[in-house]
Amino acid sequence: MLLSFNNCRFSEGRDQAADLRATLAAAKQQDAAGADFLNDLFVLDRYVDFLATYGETWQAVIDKRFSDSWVHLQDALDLLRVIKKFSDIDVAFFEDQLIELENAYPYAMFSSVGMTVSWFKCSLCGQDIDADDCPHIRGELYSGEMAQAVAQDVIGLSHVSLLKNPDDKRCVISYGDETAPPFNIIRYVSDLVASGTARISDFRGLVFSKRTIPNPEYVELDSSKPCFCGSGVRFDECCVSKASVEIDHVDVTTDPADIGSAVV
Amino acid sequence: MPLPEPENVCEIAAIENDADFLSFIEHGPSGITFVPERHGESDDPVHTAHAGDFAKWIKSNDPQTRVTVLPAEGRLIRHSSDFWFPLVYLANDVALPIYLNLVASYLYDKMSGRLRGDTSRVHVDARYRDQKAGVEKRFKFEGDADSFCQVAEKFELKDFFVDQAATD
Repeated sequence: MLLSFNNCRFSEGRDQAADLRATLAAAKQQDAAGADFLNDLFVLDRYVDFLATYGETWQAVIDKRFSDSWVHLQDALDLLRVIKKFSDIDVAFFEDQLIELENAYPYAMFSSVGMTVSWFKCSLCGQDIDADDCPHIRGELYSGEMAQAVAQDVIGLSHVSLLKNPDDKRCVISYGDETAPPFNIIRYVSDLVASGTARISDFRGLVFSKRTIPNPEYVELDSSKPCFCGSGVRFDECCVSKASVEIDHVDVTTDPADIGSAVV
Repeated sequence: MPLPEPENVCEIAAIENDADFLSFIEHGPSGITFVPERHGESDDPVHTAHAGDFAKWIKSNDPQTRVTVLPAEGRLIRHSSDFWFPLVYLANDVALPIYLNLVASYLYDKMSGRLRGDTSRVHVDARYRDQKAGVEKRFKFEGDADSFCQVAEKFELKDFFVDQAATD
């Protein structure tokens, strides 16, 4: 599946994911399947979900659907958290790469709605998950299913806030125009892969730095002349020291990798 | 451009005229009591979203510690990655370091599976009686989870009482 994605054959990769899901679904139906076995299948299911989402993320990047790719990326990262929590599967390659990919997006602030609810229903038994009567702990696995706390009966909205570390990074302060300069970095990554200059598995990360370049607006003038910037002030009292300017610079690092080695 | 991280705050201070806590401690309770609080413009006291889960976790992992969750009008969901622990009143049979270690262990459990760079801020507020000095105190922490765990580690029982003596 990863080889298909790496060669941008996304449809083929999705078909392979569907085949794997069907295999896992059949395994769940075994009569002798115990709780531990079902929990292991849950993790494998999430791993297949992750691989499929990984492909969707990169396909959207290449297609320059950056808002979509951001959502797929967050889905993929959430799945990695689940896989890491419940297994020893080595996902370091994906973790490192996708965290670096996250840095290529301009999203830094997120919106969040606070609300008051009456109680949290257990997704497994339907009881109040915080009550002693419910035998489940939120976020834990029980025979291949995760206990989730489902908020019930919204009493009221408490606040809307902007924050840096939300529970869900999908609620972004979005840019209407994905061709705008804030998307330059992810667009550059997209172009690298779409053009075949680098493969998906080659992307390693971003190195942010400052660079000094000649100021394109700078005009050397006689010191007593009005400054080129239009301030009306003498040149030697205004922009005389601005012959060069400091700009943000990003290096995109790539390193050819055997994507097969990313999968244990 | 990365935004600056808020600073960590960790303080222990004497509290005066906290009628609710005084009433609580004078009734000779035991264990940890979760106290709902008013947030924002709401008049009704609510528990934080983590309160119920944390109470259940303590009952499961440290069954000898009694946990009481006072009734509230609801649960406040903030949707941040922060851990908002409830305001707690500690009875005299639960020393502050024991409570802090429970919080640290809960965090360890809940943050397993986190990815490189995942950060969570932790908000802890505990009221207790400093039995040696005979005064009521408040422990407050707001900061990143790793720093909290370091604080909790430093609060060894023996050292805690030495520190208390030093601050009296």
